[in-house]
Amino acid sequence: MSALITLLRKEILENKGTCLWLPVIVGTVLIALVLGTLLFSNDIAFRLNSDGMTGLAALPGDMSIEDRYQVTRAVLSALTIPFFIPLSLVIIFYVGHALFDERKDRSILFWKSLPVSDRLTVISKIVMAVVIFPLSYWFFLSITQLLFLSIISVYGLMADLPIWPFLFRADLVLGHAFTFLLALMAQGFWLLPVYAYLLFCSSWAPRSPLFVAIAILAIISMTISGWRFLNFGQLNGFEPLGWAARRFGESPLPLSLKLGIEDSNEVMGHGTGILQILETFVSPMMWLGWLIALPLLWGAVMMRRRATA
Amino acid sequence: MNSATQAIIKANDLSRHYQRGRIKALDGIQLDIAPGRIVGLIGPNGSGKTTALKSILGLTPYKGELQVLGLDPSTQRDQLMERVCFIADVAVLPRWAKVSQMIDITQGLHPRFSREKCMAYLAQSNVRLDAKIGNLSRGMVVQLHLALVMAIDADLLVLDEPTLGLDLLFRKKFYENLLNDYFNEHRTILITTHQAEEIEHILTDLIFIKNGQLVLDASMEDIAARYVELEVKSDQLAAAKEHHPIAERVVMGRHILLFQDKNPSLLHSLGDVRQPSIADLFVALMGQPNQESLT
Repeated sequence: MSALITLLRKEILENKGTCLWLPVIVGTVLIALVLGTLLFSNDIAFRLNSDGMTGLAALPGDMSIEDRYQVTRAVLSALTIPFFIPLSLVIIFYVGHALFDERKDRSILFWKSLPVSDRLTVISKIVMAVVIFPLSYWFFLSITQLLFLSIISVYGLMADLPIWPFLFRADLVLGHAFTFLLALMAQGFWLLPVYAYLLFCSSWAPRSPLFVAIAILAIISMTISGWRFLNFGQLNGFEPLGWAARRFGESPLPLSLKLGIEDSNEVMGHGTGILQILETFVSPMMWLGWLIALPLLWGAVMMRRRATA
Repeated sequence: MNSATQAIIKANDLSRHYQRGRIKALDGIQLDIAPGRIVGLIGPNGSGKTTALKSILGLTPYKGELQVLGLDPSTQRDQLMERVCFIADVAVLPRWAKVSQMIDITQGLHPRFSREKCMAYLAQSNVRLDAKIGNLSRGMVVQLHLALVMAIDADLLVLDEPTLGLDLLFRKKFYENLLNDYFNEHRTILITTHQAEEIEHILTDLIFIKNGQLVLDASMEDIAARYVELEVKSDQLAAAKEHHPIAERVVMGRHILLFQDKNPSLLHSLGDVRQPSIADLFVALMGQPNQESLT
């Protein structure tokens, strides 16, 4: 276990820019934007419900509890998107290069001189993708959200708007944070076959592992589609590139974002979100994904075992 | 080679072929290396020495029998690496890391790593702890790599061209440290280098490899007893050649002959008799086509 922790520490150090600094930068930019907006326009506009945009200054003092929930959820949920998009890209590039870069700079020869198995090395890479990266972004998102709430609370006090009592409701803030964390974890496990495939390609591709990974899927997909079209006159049906793309489209996280932002009638959205996220863990598609991921991870271990540079 | 005690490395018919057997990187070699030895594995480029090291370290598949510290490198590599340390290529440390981070990581991953020893070795160099490896010169990276490896309490240390890129002073210092601080009767060091003259004084055993086959495998004492070099007096060349030298070279007009299994007392009257250097022995033995094994 201590070896795994050291390996994870090593991965964090190696990817400090994308794992730690990028979410800090995203959070800093968001807070700067909020401060700038308040300084120059004296208000923050956001979508309260499907009726359209509103602003903090326009919030009535006697808002219903449902509307207060909506305001808080709208604010918290909107902040997740600037973190989620770079996180997704960072993980894709990470797993796409995780076992390639050590071969490229030949440092694999040093790592292999230490008593660390190839299996544990591959496990550390996948734990980074599924747990550590999401956890880091979630942590800095939560800090950003708290700072955001603090800023608009101070603004509210200065503008004589009674908004802080409902912004800082623990059940809302913690509930949203927990829901988003759970969604990030579910997202990681849901995309495990995609991550495992990219990791597998990074373990043997001679160069440009991400391009190689996509090219292989594209060639197989075109072959299957062409064969199906020639034999059955149809293009629709299973092909791996489309399956991988759909895996992203059907992943849990956009679902929770949708619940947070648009479903104005769902007051207890977090609770519903948690249930729906938990359902993904027991869905057959989740398990099918793991069945696909396991041999790919095993293949990555085997390829790394043979690799010397 | 001494095999009274359990061999650290024991190979029988060790082979590694490429391209369906057309290229024989290792061609059925036998090895029996005892504990407490410093073995030089020397061969020209493409002779198979790196393949032999990689086989010993479980980094490449092979055919034949191979036991390292009683373990099978192909299936028990993880256990083996707890007792073996190696430098397969110098200056391969990750460029993103800082020196202090590499020490921390190595300490976290290797149960037999000594931070104190590593710091002591680094104190002899000009490598700073807060320096990023990517910003270090090649020589400094090698110094760091050697400090990390020598701080590991390993039973077998395998070094492939360990001083490549180092200046003369540090090379001397490294071999001094290797002999005085690191080596003891329980440890075995297997080392390859092209600068054979630098390790000559520390070796206990010498192996020459050529075209995947061992050309020489003997202790330094055996070599001293077996080979003798004669710098022939100008008027004694014909007489000297009657003793059937195995190699001849001419240096500044003087003929130097190498003899195998020849009593030196027979040669004294013909010129200056001395021990051949590893480099001279290497040139003499490896230069001969289709040299049969002399082990």
